[in-house]
Amino acid sequence: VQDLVELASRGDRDAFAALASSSVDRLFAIARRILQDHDRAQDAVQSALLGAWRDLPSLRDPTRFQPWLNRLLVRACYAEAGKQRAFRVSVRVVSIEPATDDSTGWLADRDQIERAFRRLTVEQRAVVVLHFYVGLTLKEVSEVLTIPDGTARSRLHYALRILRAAIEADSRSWPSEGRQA
Amino acid sequence: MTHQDRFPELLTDWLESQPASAPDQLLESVLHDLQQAPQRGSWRVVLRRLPMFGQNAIRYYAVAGAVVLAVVIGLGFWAGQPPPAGPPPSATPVPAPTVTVAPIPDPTIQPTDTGQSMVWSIGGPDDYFRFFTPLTLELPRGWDVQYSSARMAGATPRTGFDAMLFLTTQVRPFEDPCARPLVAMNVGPAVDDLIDALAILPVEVSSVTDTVIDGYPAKQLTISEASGASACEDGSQLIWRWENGINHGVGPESVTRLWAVNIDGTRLVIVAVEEDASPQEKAQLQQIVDSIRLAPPASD
Repeated sequence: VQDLVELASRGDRDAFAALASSSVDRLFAIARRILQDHDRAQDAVQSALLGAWRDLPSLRDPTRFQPWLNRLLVRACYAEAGKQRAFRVSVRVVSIEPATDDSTGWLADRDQIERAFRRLTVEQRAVVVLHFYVGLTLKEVSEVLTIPDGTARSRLHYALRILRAAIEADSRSWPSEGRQA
Repeated sequence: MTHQDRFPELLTDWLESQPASAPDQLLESVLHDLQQAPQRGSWRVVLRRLPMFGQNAIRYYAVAGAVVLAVVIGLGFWAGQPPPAGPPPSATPVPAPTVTVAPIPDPTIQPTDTGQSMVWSIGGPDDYFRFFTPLTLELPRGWDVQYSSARMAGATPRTGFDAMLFLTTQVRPFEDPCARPLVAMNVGPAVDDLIDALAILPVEVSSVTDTVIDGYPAKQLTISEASGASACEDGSQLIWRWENGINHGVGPESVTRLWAVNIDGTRLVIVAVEEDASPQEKAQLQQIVDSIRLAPPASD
């Protein structure tokens, strides 16, 4: 990877294409989880990868390519999340996802989590995804997001508190929703 | 076991259960755009990120100074070396390298009696668009510049995004606005190149009218939400990608007006977007467009 990064930083498009090919699934998975939107995640990944190509000559340490790319991706996710505010458009998202077997009985829980997760700010989602899904430590998360350790810790704390509270509230609201249905 | 007890496990399971593979078209789209995307020179990127170089002029003076210093040091080092074996060097003087770097001025904002005046040069040295020197416009009281880069700036009222004005050189219409992922086209530099690409978008596009912006010929069209069969099947009405990578679309009550101005062969794009704008905001938007003053492009 380091060799490819060095070649790409000198303008080798084929080398960068190889880097993009090996990163695109991982980037999409992260963006998809942060944005909770199939199409926006694709736009974020595209923006991050093209930004990486443009700015790669500024990366001094090729071994830091992956964290740097993660940083560009999260910034692209922030930009995607902000679009709706700046450019309000009517987009009905159609995404096809694999059907989930509910034999384990946790589909309802998953719905609760999903509803609660959508209530988080995009900054809070980024911390949750990088920590719980990517598996970064909070120090690594703070480096990717270029925020102080304490801020990363604080965002995670509040995000989890919101998630827990929302799940609790959703659990309590189920019966009344059921009656309405 | 309660929800709270199982919370970390629920969260991790839920994150793991979501799709982890990118659609094939995504990589294809990235590789397609990669072929046309220039790579920035490292010195520009680094200097832009150094806070001490807040002013563009200072950046370039610093670069020029560094280059001169490097040349002086290099020549001094070369002069201090023992003469190489072999025939004596030619007496022909070696021309000193010259470095010409065009500055990219930031917009300047000055308060006026009625609001603010913005002076800006737009364009970039690394593409076929050249600088305008300068472009000025008057912002009414209560409006601020919202976006700013070498090729794109915008203005909105402080109260929100119901009315927006953008100045740029290029908007990149989507090859097929209904396809996913969206692929943005690089249209040619002429006014007609852009107008022709916009005219076929699957949304409501008005007929093109000839007009004049500060004495320069321009073409204007209006884009609004499509109705019926002309919209994409999924209901989306995204139409182009801005210079800053953000996608632009139309929606209910949204009207996008675009002027493509031919300034001695260089294209300026002015876009006014209204969505739930008040009559006052609409009037102010038009007032800003009318206030635009343009100078000829700087000669190279």
